[in-house]
Amino acid sequence: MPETESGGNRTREAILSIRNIRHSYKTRKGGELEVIRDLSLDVEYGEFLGIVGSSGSGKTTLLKILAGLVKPDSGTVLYKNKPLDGPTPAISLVFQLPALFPWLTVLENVMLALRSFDNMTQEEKIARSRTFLDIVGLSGFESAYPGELSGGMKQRTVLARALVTNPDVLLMDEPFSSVDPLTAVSLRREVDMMRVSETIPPSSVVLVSHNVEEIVELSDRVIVLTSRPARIAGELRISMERPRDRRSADFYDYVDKIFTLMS
Amino acid sequence: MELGETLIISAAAIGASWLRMGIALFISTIFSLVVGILAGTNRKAERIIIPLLDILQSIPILGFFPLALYGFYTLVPFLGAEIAAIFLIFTSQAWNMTFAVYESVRVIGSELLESAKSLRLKTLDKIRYIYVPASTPRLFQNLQPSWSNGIFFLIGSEILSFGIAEVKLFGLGSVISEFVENGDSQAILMLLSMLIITATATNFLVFTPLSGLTERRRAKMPQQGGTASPGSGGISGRIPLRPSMQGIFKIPHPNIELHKAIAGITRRVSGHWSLLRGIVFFALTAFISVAIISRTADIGRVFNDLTAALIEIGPLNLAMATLYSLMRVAIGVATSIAWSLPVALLIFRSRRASAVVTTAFQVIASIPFTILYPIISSMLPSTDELRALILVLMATQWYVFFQVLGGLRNIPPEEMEIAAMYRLSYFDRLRYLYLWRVLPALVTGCVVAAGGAWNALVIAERIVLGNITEEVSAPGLGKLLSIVVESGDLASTVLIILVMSAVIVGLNRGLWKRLYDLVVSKLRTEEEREHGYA
Repeated sequence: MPETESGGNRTREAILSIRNIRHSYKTRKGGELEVIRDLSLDVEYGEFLGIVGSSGSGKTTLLKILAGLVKPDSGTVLYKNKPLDGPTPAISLVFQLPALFPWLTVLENVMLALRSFDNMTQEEKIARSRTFLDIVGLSGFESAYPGELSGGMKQRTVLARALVTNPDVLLMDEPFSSVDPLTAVSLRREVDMMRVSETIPPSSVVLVSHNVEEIVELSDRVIVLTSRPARIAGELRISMERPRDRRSADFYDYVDKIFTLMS
Repeated sequence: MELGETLIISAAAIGASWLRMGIALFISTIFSLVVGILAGTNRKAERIIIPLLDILQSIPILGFFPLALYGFYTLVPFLGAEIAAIFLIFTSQAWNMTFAVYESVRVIGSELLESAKSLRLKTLDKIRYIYVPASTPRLFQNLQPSWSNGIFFLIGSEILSFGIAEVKLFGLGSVISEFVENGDSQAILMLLSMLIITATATNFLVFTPLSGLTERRRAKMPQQGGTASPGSGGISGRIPLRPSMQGIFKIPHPNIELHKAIAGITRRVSGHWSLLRGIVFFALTAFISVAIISRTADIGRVFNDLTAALIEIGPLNLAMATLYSLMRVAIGVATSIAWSLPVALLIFRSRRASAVVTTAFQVIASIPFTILYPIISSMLPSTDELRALILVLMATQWYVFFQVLGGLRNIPPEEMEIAAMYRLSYFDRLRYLYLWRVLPALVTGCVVAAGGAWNALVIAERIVLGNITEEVSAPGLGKLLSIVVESGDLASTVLIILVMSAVIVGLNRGLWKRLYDLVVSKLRTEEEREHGYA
């Protein structure tokens, strides 16, 4: 049976954590729109963390804060116990829509992530990029342009680009919502399999979604956010065998629990 | 002259000119709505109107001179001069607005039109509740550029002379040329400062609120991150450079919206056929206008007149003039790019800097530089080509700059974030992101700028202000046109307009459209639908 985490009764080491984050956007009328209020959470070493919340609950903003792309109004972001002062290749973010540069080939798009890696030769970069394209099942498409790929293949390319830097943390912002349901199933399965493999980074994955089934299928731990401004409504640890059967009673149990926390 | 008197005359002159411009803009608005909606909803009308618009926008304003004078001045002697001036201002304002309306109507989602059908909306209701509201955001955004364009050609519109027919209307142009002739520098200064204040005030009190009217409909959720959210928040950031209706209609990519009005017309018309059609149309119009104005039905005589004009000017002269003018346009566009690109790259990351620079440039752009020409020429007495270049730049560079800045500011935030995430160096960002994203906007800016440059050449190569005549010593089409217009030589005027328009249309088709298609095909991520156009 699943158990609701009461929190604080055990200590696991955090690779990435945020403390007392507050963030708001300015509206066009000069007002302020508070999207995150006093939020603290840890991403633990080696875990798959699911963050679920209704649309517009500041999930994407939270993810960008974790990636160092957005500086919160107040609060701290710690990566390996040191303040995170900006984006780093060690924390890779996969966007909701596959953001690829249309004027670069698939291989060049992946290699772009290695541009700042000065200690690698061009040949090494090519070889490494090819390896990751192979892992996501895109070998043979190296010289294709993004415009020639299907939605699923684009998202695979993005995945390869996100992994090629050997990140410690992979952040994913509803990566399966932009592809058709069938492709989403196989993409989810691959992400799940990837976690099992020892050779493939990353150590930790954070998946943000409003799709509760998807979160339950993939996560070790789930954090439920309230709607705007985002705060933590509850936390849940999921202990089920992988790959998880979406039709099992346990699965529904978890889904129900999350829905209860969300409402 | 007394200070008070100068003040009153200056204010009255500005008032008179502003009134003319206002009336012309009002007529342009009505015209653009009627013609734009017609072209956007009716296939047959579209086939005629769009190529026609393309040709009309390529005819320099002086090209409408004979028509304005004979059509209005000679036929309606009483109010004819006023009507002719307003008509000329109208020709410098209407085309981009019409195209904005047309394109807005075209991108209305088919769901919306189908619901209108199932609601059994009458045509009038459809116009009122769908077509007009759909057009207003871009129409309002085009008002300000149209106004600026009108100001640039204001003087040419108020002082008309075609052979013996001469019109000099009370307004900015006539008053300032009088001041210049009297050498009254104090009066010039006063008029200029009043003009700048009025132009700036008009911008902020009329056009900014106007384009802000539809702001709420364009508003989106606050952009994530804020690294590169499109649309600067400043007083003016909203004028011509932002994607307008993303909220309402599905537009695949902000850059698609950047195809600005005039460049858009070029895009709609395809290839050689339209080139041929354009030339046929020109020739026909030339014939008819010569026939009408010289009141003859004898086609042979018209043809003889035109060939006589060609022989008189000399084909070689004409070719040399074209070549020189082409070079001036090329230098004007190249100079515009040369400063616009670095400046835009420097400021686009900062919302505030973008807003401040945009506002400043809008103020400068709203000053009718044609009026400053006598002053510029007194400061630069022996460098006629530099003077011409300055005038050409005044008519071109803003288009390039605003387009480039808009293109950079519309870079999808995700792409900026990817660049940040993978710590791309500035050079890498330039090479892999900025230059690529700015290309379509740059080409669009160049198309519009080149069009503007050709128009400006007519004034830049030779300007007549009262008794002052300033001209470049080297040949030029604009100079030639200005001379024959002044002497009232109808056949030669028509002939030169024919050549000039043919060059402009030829460049649009042969160079700009190809370049544009090439760039856009490179940037395409999906098989984009031409909104409902297929």
